[in-house]
Order: sequence, then structure tokens, then C-alpha cells
Amino acid sequence: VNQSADSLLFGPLGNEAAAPLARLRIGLGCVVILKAWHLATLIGPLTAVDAIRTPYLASFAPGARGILVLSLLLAISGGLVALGWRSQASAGVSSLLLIGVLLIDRQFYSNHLYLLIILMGILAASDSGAVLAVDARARPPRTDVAAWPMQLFRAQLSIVYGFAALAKLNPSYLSGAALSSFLDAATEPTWVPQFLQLASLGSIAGELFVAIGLWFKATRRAAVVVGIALHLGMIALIDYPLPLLLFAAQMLLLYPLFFNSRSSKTLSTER
Amino acid sequence: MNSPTSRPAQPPTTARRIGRWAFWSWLGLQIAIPAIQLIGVRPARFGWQMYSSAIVPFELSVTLPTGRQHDLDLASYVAVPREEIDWQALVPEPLCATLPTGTIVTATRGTSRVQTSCE
Repeated sequence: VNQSADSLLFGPLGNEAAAPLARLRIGLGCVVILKAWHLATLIGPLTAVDAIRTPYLASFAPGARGILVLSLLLAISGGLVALGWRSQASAGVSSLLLIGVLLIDRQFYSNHLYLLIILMGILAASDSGAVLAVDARARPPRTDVAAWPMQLFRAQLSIVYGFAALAKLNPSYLSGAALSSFLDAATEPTWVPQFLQLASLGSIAGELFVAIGLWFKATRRAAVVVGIALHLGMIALIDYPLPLLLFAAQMLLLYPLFFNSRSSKTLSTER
Repeated sequence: MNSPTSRPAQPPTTARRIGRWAFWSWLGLQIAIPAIQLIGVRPARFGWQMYSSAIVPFELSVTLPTGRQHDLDLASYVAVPREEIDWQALVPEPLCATLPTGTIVTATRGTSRVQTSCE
């Protein structure tokens, strides 16, 4: 096991092409900017006169101005990440600011926010500014960077899809009742129960397939198609477009990492 | 770039050990947290349990000291009415702060009903 771990981290797979990681950095920076905008849209409802706030700590419940400042700082940090200016530090600051958003109020938790904190944390530990970045201008050109952050990104994608599928293995979801409650809240038509049950089973199978299929060359392209279809379906049918869009963007941005030629060796027999 | 053929075998250094430990610790944590969250009530936070269980309707009403009853919409009072938040515990107190003494706040979620008298 140790030999495999060493191989994964520091052996033949110790380096990978820098460009996919740089493109991911640019994409995630843009997602942080969008998240800042999303946060700004919540200021009004959260700070209205008769609004009920649910902070974790009464001493840390900033008002409208505080949240606006946080949104602006978040947008700036996202912009710096996208530009690749002090990439690691900017990503670290973004991650900390996002943790700050999470701690403001219980209502601010969302899976896309939690995912973004994790991804920015990994980005802060990676050399994502090696190319396509302001950072790259001041350093000798490099085409390769350490592979381990990309392995963490890939693993995170499988963890999210895998646990999303496992969590759905309950009577409520398998019967189609859960899906019905979300779709009925968002759309007018009454759904046929058999269709809902089939769609529920299909979504679980789809998530599991993407979680595993992206790792193997034979199933990779099909997994991408299934993954895109899953996200598009959710955005089209469920009534929370912006959070779902932010979540989908993060997940889809990770897909190209599986197409990095040198990374294809990860779980194959090549050594 | 290091190729498989050009890279000589290296004994593990402290940095490599720390790196390996950090990598697997991070990965273990990212797997352990949602695994633990599978055990409890769904949807749970930090568990990637998006849309995994049916929405349980939450109803809110107040009975004024005069006896008149009003139904309230939670979405009118909170920014994000998330499913996993325990609104029955969190809503009555701040709502009471805006209502006359003696008002009763009733928060119902599924079959669970909580009544709070505003004092």
C-alpha cells in the first residue's frame, strides 16, 4: 500500500501537465465571483426588518454592510484567483472568506458553498499558477506540476457523486416520493409515479456511474455525458437555479482533469 | 519532467512522509465526514445528501391573546428556508419578540408540533 501511495504521490505519477490545473483555477475563480454575487442577493432577505436570523454565534452576525463587504472581498479574491495573481495565497484567502460566509448564519450553508471551500482549499495547496497566470510571468516556464492536488480534486468529485447516490438509498427516494416533493414544488404538472420511481433509480445509477466511470478510459466519455445530463436535468426541473448552477459549474470544471493524458495511468495497470 | 525510467528509487524522506500523511488524512476526512452523516437524520449537512429525502412540510401559526389565529409563511421571515434547519427550535423566540405577550406560536413539521407561549 505504501508503495502504491508513494507511486501515486511522488513516483511516476508525481507530476502532471500544468494547464488543466490552471484552467480549473480560472474556472473556480469565476465561480467564487458568482458566489459573491449570490451572497449579495441574500443581504436583503436576511437583514429585512422582520427577518429571523439564525447565527451560530450571536457575536458574529454582521449586518447588511458587513455582508456586502464580505461579498466584495470574496469577488476580489475570486478575480485574483482567476487571474493567477499570487494564486496560492488568493485561493487560501477565498477559502477563508467562504468559511466566514458559512459561519455568518445557519441559512447560508449549502452544498455548493461547502464544496467550494474544499476545492479552494486544495487549490491553495497546489501550484495552479504555473501557467496561464500572472504568477507565471515572474517565473521560469514550467509545463508540469505536482500531481497530488489533482488526485484530490478527482477523488473529491467521486466522493460527492458517490455519497449523493448512497444518501438516496432510502425508501423515500427509491419510491419516487422525494423527487415528487421537489418537482411538485417547482413545476405545475403532476408527475406519473412510475416515471418518478424510474427517474429516482436512474439518478442513483447515474451518480454512481459518473463517480466510478470517469476514472476509466473505456467509460470516461459516457460518464461525462451522463454527468452533464444529470446536472442539466436538475437545473431544468428544480426551482433553485443559481445554487444548482454554482454546484454544477464546480463539478463540471473537475471533469477535464480526468482527461489529462498522464493522469489516465492513475487506476490503470500502467506503472 | 520526471519519467518512470529516469527517476531513481528514493528512500522516503521526512517531507515525503509528511506529504503522504497529509494526502491520505485529507482524503480520509473527506470520506469519513459524509460516511458518518449517512447514519443520522437526512438531509444532513456536510454529507452530500442533496435532494435525498422528501420535503417535510413546515407550518407556522400564531394565536393572539384575543383568540384570533393567523397562518404565517416561513419564507416571509427567513432568507433561505433550508430543509435541514431545526426551525421549530429557532423560529418561536425571535417571532415572539415581535408579538404581544400571551401569543402562542405553533410550529408544525410533519407530525411534530411545538407550541411556545410568548412571555
